[in-house]
Amino acid sequence: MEERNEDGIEVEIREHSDADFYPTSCPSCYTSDIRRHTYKVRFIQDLGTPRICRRIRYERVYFKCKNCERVFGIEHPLIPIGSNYMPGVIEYAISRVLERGDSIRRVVRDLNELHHVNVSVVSVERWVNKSGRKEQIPNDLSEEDPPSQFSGFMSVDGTFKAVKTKKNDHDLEV
Amino acid sequence: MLLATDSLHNKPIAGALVSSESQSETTFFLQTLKEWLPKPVKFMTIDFSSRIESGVKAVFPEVSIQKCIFHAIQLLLRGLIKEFTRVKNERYLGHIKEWNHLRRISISLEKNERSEPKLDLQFKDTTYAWKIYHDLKTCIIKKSPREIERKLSLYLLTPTFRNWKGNLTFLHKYEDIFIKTKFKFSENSMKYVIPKIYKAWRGAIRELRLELETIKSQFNKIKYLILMNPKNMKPYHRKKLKKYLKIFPWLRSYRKIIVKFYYQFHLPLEKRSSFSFLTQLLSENSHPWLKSAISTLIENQEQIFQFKQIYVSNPKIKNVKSIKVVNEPINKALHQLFQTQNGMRTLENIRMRVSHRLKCPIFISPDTIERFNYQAKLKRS
Repeated sequence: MEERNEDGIEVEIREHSDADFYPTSCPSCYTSDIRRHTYKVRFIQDLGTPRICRRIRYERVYFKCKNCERVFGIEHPLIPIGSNYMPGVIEYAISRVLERGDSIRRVVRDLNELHHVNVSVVSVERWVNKSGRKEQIPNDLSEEDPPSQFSGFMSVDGTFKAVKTKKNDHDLEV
Repeated sequence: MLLATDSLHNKPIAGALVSSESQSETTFFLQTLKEWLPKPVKFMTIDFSSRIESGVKAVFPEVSIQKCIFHAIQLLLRGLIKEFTRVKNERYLGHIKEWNHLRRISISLEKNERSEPKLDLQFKDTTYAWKIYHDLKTCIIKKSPREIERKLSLYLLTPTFRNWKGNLTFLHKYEDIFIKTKFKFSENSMKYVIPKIYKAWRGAIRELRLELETIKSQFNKIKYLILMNPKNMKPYHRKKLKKYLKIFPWLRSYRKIIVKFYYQFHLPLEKRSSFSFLTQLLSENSHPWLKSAISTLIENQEQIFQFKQIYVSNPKIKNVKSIKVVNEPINKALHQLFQTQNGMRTLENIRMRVSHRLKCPIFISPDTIERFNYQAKLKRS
């Protein structure tokens, strides 16, 4: 489904529904006597291009077991539960910040302006911190796997950068 | 931050955030690495840091140490750049300053702002020019215009004036006073003619100063050509170097020694000569950086050429460049990361970002954590 918004940017809407993955059995009583109970429609943001804004119309369907009368939902294989963004958006932001070393604000600006994904700095920061395991403060290498192909030839070098602590910085607990 | 790299695969192995490059921090980092690595370390490439070296010797006493040749060359080049700057200041900048000083003094004397000072001039031509100024002044000081004219015309024919470098420029400007502006030696015109004569002298010394400034800028250009590795020189570099060496023939001896220094890294082990030839670059007044660089190179020359022995004993790794140099591009990547982030404010943030950027585990030394906590507490209080 395609529309055009007031800025002349094409809005491409793809449709996904939980009904496409109709459950075969009830998760509590395992009977196959299931019916569609209710549904909720959510719009999920996906990576667009400068001229195309991509959105997913996701129909979250709740099913009801006729036998035990339990209402349940399923996990859609493409869309994580409770997410407002497609996994590709999160992966893109994380790789830009952690692998390419771009700043979070820069990535947020690109997402907003070039990919038409409305996202805040705090959200991206949360994704990055979760993916980069920021809370860990290792003081040795005991939890890391040693390199499998170490040649025995090693070079050691030091580089120095100034680090300024934040005013309300917390204590580091190891 | 201390970083260990696998020299053969050219990949970072692990890193540590440390509070300083002290021996205790280096030893802690290397000890952790020693316990963690699956294979023993055979060969270690380091820069000229004495603290890293002592740490390596403490943890890996049997490892053969290679001193990075990139840092060895950098050490000598930095010393030479300092030396060339010293020479430039001594030969050219001081000289140019003296010319400017003469100009300012002559102006203030003409305005009667000051009495004649005693000048302590260092350069021959500035002293000579100041003498000419005095002679001109004694000619001009006469009262009658006719007498001034006679005295000046006689003085301009003397060998003292004829031997002055700026005589032609002066004469050209002196003649212009009477040809272009059509002044004559008369009572009325003297108040215009005398300042113009002094101005002509200043014009002449200006030409001499500009000549010197051109030489100074040429020296700035040749400075970097002299230091270039002959292997990296393009034909236009050679052409320019040849041209400038004609202007500065005294730099030929420097160039010869630098070329010899570069070729030492390409010669077979038995043909290599000792770095003691570098002492020819030194003089009594040499810059302390150059003196210290040369003494460091002579002291460490065996370790600088250690890679040649490794190439002989391990022919498979011959021509692996990363054996003889530490992995500087990693430092560049880190620098870029810090620039993008406008510096980093928490240790967790640095660890996370650096670890992902370099794709290797990074840990934080206990000293750094303690110091960080102490700083944070101080700020809060």
